[in-house]
Amino acid sequence: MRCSPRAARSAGLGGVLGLVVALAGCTPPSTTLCVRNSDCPAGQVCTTGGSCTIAPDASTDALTDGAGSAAGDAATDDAAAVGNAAQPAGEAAPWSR
Amino acid sequence: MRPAPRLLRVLRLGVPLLAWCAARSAVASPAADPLWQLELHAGYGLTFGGIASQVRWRSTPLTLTAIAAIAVIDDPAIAGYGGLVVETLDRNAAGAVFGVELHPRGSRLHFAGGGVYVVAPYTLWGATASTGACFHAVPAVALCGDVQLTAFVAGSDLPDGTAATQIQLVLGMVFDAL
Repeated sequence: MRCSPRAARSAGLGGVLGLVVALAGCTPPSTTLCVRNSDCPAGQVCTTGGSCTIAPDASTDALTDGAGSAAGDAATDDAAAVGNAAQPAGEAAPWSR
Repeated sequence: MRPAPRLLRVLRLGVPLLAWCAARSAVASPAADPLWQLELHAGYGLTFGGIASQVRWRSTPLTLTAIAAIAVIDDPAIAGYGGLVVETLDRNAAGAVFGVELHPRGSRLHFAGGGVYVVAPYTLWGATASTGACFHAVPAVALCGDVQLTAFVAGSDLPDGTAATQIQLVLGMVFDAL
């Protein structure tokens, strides 16, 4: 649906319902990915800036499980880079379906 | 003396009209407010969030709610409610809602305010406020439309230091239980 109330009206929707549908169908360039963590794909969390990123817990857990707790702790600061590679593909966030 | 044809015509049209209006009025304004009501709602709309310089928005999940309301004060007509809430469509989560409803006498409008607590698989605490109107389709069942504002202020589903506010159009069915 195009991002305009006119599109909603042409679809036969009027008033508040048309407005809500029109706005819900909008995807302007300024729209970012997430407002809540559950808006993000599995294994990712929402940042305060509104983008999804690898969940710190998930990457830390993966490192800890794979390389021992000491190595995992040492590598935590670097988890963004290392964790991406270590993130198991099938691991899902608890809120994902 | 024969009644005038015009009078007959008025009676022929007017009596059924009056009967329909009387029945309609009785349906729209039941003589006594029910003690218990069961309500089913479905809400969908927009959610806003982020910090001041980076406010963003997107569509909300579909929010399904099933609640029971019990009248606690007769005048003004105030009911307390509680029930279950489910977020679905692009995620699955469940929680509870609770609050109070005000039903002004002689009006189809109602107002509600309360809280929402999403329990699993993530947590969310929020406050809700809504207003809308109901129309009785049959004596014990009403169809309702509401605009609901919800502010989520805490919980594991929110990025640190942010809140999420959602505005939803809510369609509902209300059953007078007792």
